[in-house]
Amino acid sequence: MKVTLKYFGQLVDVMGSHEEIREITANTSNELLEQMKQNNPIGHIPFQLAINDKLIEQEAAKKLNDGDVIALLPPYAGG
Amino acid sequence: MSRYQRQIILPQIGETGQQKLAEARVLVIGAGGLGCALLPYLVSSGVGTIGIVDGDRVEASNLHRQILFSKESIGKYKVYEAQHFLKNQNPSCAINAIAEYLNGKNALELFTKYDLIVDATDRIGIRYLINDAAVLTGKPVVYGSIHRFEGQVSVFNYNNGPTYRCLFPKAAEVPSCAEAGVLGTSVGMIGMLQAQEVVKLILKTGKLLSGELLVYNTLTADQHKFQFSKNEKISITQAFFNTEYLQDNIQVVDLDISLLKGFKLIDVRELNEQPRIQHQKVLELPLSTFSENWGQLDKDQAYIIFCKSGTRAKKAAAILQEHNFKTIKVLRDSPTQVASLLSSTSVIKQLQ
Repeated sequence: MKVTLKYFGQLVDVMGSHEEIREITANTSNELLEQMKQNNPIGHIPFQLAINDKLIEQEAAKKLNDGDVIALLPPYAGG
Repeated sequence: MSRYQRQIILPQIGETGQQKLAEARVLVIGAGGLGCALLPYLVSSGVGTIGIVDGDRVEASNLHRQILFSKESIGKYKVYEAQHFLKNQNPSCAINAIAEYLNGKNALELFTKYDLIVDATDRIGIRYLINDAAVLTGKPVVYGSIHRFEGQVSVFNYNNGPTYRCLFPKAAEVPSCAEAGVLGTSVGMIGMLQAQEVVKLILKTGKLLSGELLVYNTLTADQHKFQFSKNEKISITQAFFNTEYLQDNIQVVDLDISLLKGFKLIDVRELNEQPRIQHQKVLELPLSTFSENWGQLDKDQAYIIFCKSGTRAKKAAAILQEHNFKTIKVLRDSPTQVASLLSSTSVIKQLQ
């Protein structure tokens, strides 16, 4: 299935863009996270996931659907 | 009241709204980029009482974004400089300047004196402290933070609603403005969004960002809102607060050759105390002037602090911990033991 991934904060630098459409094999949010952490150097950045503008609990294995927009949201410190 | 006439004629405000603003008590944590942006607007709109908490002094590198300060402010406490500016701007607003860093000891007492808290700090650790103290005292928090050109704004603990911990459950290491860089106009925009939430909260008008995280990109003008809900599994109790913020968690260690490699030592005894230890690894920063001089230290360097008995070393360590120094330890050994270890041949060899 195809999903849109949106990156924020430090993740923009690491992933090289704000947004991309990807063909994924993962069926759940947990699988997607695991694959992303394996293939990209993002392990050191804390972030939360939002699916279609709704934050999900980190441990929740949410089922993903074709066309989902998944945002990766790190906390910001600056002020 | 002619000062406020243009806002009083707004149907959402009126005389009643203006009265609400005059009676409001707002505590702003941090007089940095966000604080400097939102404070003048809270003051000009007629918010009656504003407290500002910040232990920092103005540095030249603040001036590009912290617009309440001028060249003459450098070296002075931010809160007093801000108070001077804001008093001049609107003398009817009471400005309480609190030249301290927010910590586990002062947070709860301070929060009880105000109706709402503005998180305008620049440290993740303090954001959790603000959140937890606000939950315990039942105060809403207007949150703002920035990473380069992107800002986040939300309202926490409004009518027992979602909190910062519902959004980001665990504290993690995140770069600050000093590390990541920031543009004055970007942080100004985020501060202004916070000021608007504060005014809305006081007036009880519009739709607050409670349960919503607004992420605004000042470089592309894109904005996103994300919904989040209250995590009922999270509970902040007084006992949790005490363990988290009031326990002395500074590690006391014995000096060991292996420790010397990555660490530098700081001698916080006064300069007339003997024996003096002259060594490349040892910095002399007496406790009496430590608050003025710690700025020359590097936050990423690991330090071991010592004095004669450890009491003053712990005080110095607490100051550095408040400023987010990464690794700070206090030494159990006496200065005589330090001197003898540093002059031992094995140590001299190790450090060569």
